[in-house]
Amino acid sequence: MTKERTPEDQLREEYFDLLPEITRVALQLEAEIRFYTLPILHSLKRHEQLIVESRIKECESAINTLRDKQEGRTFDPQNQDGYTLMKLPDLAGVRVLVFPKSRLLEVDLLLRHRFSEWISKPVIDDFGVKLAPKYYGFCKGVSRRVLGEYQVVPMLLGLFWKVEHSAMYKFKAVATFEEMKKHRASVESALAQFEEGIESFIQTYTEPPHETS
Amino acid sequence: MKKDILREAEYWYNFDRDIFYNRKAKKAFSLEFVDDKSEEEIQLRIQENTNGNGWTFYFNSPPSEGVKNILEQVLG
Repeated sequence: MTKERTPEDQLREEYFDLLPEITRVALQLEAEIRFYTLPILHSLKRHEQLIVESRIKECESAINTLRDKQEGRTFDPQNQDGYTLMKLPDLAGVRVLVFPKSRLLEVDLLLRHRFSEWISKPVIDDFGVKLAPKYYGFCKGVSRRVLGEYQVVPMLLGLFWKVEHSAMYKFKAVATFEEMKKHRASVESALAQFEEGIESFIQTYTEPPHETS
Repeated sequence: MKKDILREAEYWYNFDRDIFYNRKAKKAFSLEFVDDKSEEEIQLRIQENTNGNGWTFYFNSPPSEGVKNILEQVLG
């Protein structure tokens, strides 16, 4: 007897059909962002940083993201054709980690100009505070099926998210606990203050450039 | 807090399905339902009489028969 195909089977097939395009979108987006931000990279001061990272969402992670959107995290077996990974905006993603904040604003402005047709969907914390700009859209001439996404993130916050994501990945209920929301907000606020502290120290104690007469 | 109410009523959390369940009462609450409803409503649903023969699912959008079947298998 043939086992019935589940929505997960259908989504796995879709993922591997899309994978070459996902790869091309990630490569294209990373290359474009590296190219556009080159002038900023070359003008960074010794303490400033700009790191461009791309990643391709893995098959099971993509399916899990879609499953997370279903109540009871269960796909309806009678609704096979109703699910598609093409709705996910982050199959191909680029994260730009920047320090300090003044540079982040510069990078955001520059990229927003280059990707003016992309839709803004900033990362917001549980209390409505905007943490990082984020955009998604199509890379022209590369794919009309796979969306790309990029975000510009304060360096320390981005590094924290990497740790937080791996710790909380399977614990949606923990993440929605009021106490955990407060803990997360405390860490994010502390990291922001830490970055601001460094920036403020540098501004206060660094000799301004000499004026040439 | 809502999650404390569920814990006191002996509801456990299923991490794979994001639902709170009580096998004895044969009731399950989706995380979305718990987040969206008031403490009073959760309390009422916990106390609500059901026929007890099959599972009762408290979801924001009622689950389809297919989803119910899968969850019933998972919950045993």
